[in-house]
Amino acid sequence: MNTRILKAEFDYFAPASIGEALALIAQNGPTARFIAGGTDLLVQMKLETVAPGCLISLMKISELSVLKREKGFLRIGAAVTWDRILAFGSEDRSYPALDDAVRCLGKVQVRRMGTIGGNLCTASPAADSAPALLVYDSRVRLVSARGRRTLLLDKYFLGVQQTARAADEIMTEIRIPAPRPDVGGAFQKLARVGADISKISCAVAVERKGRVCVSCRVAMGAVAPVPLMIRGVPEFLQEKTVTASLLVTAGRMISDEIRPITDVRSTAEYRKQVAGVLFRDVFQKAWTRAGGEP
Amino acid sequence: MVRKTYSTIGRTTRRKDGVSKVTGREIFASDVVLPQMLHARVLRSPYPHARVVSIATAEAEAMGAVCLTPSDCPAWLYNERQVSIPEKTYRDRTVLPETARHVGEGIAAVAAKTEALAEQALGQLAVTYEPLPSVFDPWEAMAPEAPRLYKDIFLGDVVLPIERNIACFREMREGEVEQGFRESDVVVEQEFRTGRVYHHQMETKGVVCRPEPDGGISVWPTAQSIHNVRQLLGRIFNIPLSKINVHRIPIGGSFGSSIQMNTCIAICAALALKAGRPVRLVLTREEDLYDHCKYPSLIRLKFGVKKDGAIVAGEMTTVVDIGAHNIQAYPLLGCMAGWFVSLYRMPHMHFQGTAVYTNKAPACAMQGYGNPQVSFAVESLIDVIAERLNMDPIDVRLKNYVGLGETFWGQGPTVRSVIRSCGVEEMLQKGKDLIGWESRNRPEARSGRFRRGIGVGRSFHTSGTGAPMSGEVIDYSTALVKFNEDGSVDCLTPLMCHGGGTLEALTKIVSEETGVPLSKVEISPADTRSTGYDVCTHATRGVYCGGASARRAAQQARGILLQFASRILEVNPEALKIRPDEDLGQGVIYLEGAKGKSITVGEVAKTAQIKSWGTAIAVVSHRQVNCPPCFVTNFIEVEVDTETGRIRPVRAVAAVDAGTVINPDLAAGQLEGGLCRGIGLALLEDTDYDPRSGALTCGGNITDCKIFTALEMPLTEDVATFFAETEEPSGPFGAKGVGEAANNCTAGAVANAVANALGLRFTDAPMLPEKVLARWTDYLREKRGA
Repeated sequence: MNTRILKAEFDYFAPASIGEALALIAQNGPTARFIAGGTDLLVQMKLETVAPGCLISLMKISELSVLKREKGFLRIGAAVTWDRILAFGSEDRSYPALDDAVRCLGKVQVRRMGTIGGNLCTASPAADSAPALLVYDSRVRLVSARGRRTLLLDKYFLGVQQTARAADEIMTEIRIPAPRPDVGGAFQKLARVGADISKISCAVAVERKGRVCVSCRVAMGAVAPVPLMIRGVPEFLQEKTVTASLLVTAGRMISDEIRPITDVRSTAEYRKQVAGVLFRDVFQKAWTRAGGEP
Repeated sequence: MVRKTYSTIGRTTRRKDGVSKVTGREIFASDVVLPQMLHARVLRSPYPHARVVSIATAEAEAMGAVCLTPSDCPAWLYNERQVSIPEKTYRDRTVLPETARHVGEGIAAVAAKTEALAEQALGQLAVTYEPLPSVFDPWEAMAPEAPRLYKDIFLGDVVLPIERNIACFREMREGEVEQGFRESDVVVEQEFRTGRVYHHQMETKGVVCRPEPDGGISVWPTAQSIHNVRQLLGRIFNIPLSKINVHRIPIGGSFGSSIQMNTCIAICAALALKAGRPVRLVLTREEDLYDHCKYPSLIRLKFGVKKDGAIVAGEMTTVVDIGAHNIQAYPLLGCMAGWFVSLYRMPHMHFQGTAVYTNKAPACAMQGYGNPQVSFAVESLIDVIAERLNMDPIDVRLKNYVGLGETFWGQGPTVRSVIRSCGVEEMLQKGKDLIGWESRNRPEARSGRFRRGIGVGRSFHTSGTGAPMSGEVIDYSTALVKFNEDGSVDCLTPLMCHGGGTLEALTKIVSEETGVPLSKVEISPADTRSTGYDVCTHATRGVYCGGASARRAAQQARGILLQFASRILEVNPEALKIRPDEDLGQGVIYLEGAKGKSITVGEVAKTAQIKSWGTAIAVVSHRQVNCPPCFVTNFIEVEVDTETGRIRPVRAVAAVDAGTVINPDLAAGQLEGGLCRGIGLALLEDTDYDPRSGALTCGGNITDCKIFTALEMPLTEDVATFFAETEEPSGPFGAKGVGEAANNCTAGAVANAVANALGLRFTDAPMLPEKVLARWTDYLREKRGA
């Protein structure tokens, strides 16, 4: 086993347009794969858990590197790297949960190479961007020879590293609706060390009116086969005056709802134990931000 | 005391190797490229214990690869560690084994034109294994019916049968321990564990070997001792040492991971000799993780004390799971006994240590060599004593510490010397003030989710393994110093720098002694052909032992130079002095009080050359006849999140008594680095094995084998480092060591801080959040129940 030497041979293309990329995937048969930053795929190839006969890089396609606000959405091209999103987030504070997530995502090297689309296509249950994007009701745009479609991110994740994207489909961009005013967001994770894959992560977006929670969205990572949209708690908190004991109850509901496993990073038991605490911490941070504080 | 003032020693200067390291121009073993060079890869056992029945190489050879199997290799058993005297060296391995004893053990190798081709060829080797029963727990391994890793090995030149997988056993007594416990007012006893920590050095081990036309071999290895590499290769391959040249090459960190001749060196040498071409072999991180680890510890510790806190008796029993090879368990057990008895006085002591083979990656020395493990136990139990006697933990330490004038045998029973410098009290007093010890509360006073606690830990390491008498450990250094014809100075030594500034310190020692400005003193490239023996940069000996040899060589060369100068100046050489002149970039030789009687070192050296008087040059082989302890003290404040179990170090004070400090910024850096790894030992680091497969649960993958970095450390402004004001009479310009000492006391300090925060003591490191939360939940439940 090794993560340094890439012994397999494969064809490599770096097309400049989506059309070209779609043609290449069609021509190169079932073992052809798209590649973006490669932070996951190259490791898997060195470990020989995958063996693509052909790699088609998406990094030269300008359409995939868009990053701008447009018509009530933030459009992030699938091939936009984390460090660009980080720089954007420093100027535009509309999506603090996403900004929190990107700040604790990997180290400099991963942030420089890794892309948001790659993260969503790999679809790890622990993907840090996923809970943040879920609470902002994000959508992903996919294109193939059959045409274009837009999916709610909530409908996109199907299982561990399984998504609604077909192998010959390219994710072109992520669209995040502009949040309503009075919405605060936050993301936090627990991990073994500062730069690490999450043991458990949580994102919250909450709309606040005084002491009342108008509505909220909660998503968690590394607690189920997919990045998990929490169902029960938003309904429970809706239009309620937020108190410490209310959040304790909500935290307990979350512990009951999640279905974590024991793996190399932590145990199912621990994840259940701390899910509620993590939720309360994140909710509190989002709540404070919704109140206009930093 | 008033410190002596020096021109160079103790000054913060820019590192001589700094530019090459930060600009990526430094050449490490993996950067060495030679014409016609092949690249090697090693086939590693997927089984924890299996006989290699056959290896078919035809297909790999058909691809053009050179293949190496056990039948190509010398059958001589070796031990990669060459520091003990031969009759105390346990030999249990060959270049490639016929039986694999842990997952990841190399059993065959190939060399090809590129690394990727070699990797492909590796896949073409067809191996038939006969899996054997395996054992992973040291207690199970000692059971009579347990699978046996070895029938017999060699101890020196004598066949040593191995019974119940016990690699070696040591027992030591002083006084009458049972009587001591009877005389004690309070007896405390607990069991402690520390993890099987991976070294995590930045550079994975590597080597380039070139067979020479004369039948010899040249080697560029990742190594802490080039001479031990040469001697072992000579013995294994039956090549005269005069035909083996091992080059010193910078190392990308070590923590002890290359203290032995890495086994990949022997494999690469065998491949190069077979191929008749240079071969490069650089381990992947995954291979490196299966190569070595720190000795894990399981320690049962008992102290008997009087009511006033005076320790009467101490007993330590340890079982060390050494993994599949006995690299240096015998001296380790001697040292563990030494670390145990040398920290606090105990009139009566008993030590029992057992090293046990299991089917895991072999353990070897790592920063502290058993000392962080022992000090974790001792320092924890000292706090338990304080608690029982209702004493201040610092007072218990002050009452019992081994200090000035006392005999001390940190490096084991044959390395005894008397302590001549000691900053223990100073560090405890000053550290106490810096951390705010007086405001430290009892755990009962705390409430709420986040609880802070302060703990103290102290320890020491030895500066080298020298002593008045030669014991079981070899220790001496060789250095050459010469004045060049322009007044600059070369220092040639096989000593290694692991990154902590050892060779930098040598340039300062030579500059100070010769009077030549630091900018004109350089360390020469070294190899085994051009240098005398140096045992190894290990045991915190680089500055104290290696530096002492360089200082003596400088003294002698200086004497010759002054003879030359006395001819020119027509004065008695004894009357001459040398001072550095930074503006001139020269040492200036002068007669005190006499105007006009001065000349630069360069002028003298050049005159001596022109007039054919000779070169002012000296080479010295030197053994230090003392083994002074460099004492360390940490005060650490932690914050425990009682709802997630996460422990965060928030403030720290780290102090060392290193005698005269030669590189102040680098020594402070050592303290900070030691603190980081020590906190890791306490809170995070371990490697465990899946008993079904025998594989590491992290799979050898660094993604799942974490260490702390700057992200987890307290903020820079919350870490204070300082040096005790001492001077070691036997050290070069009063210097002792720092390196290993820096992390020896940290885990104990962390454990004591956590106990102070929670009122709950953890004796089994690492204190992972999962464990902390579960125990804390149980503790609260019990408290409520009571």
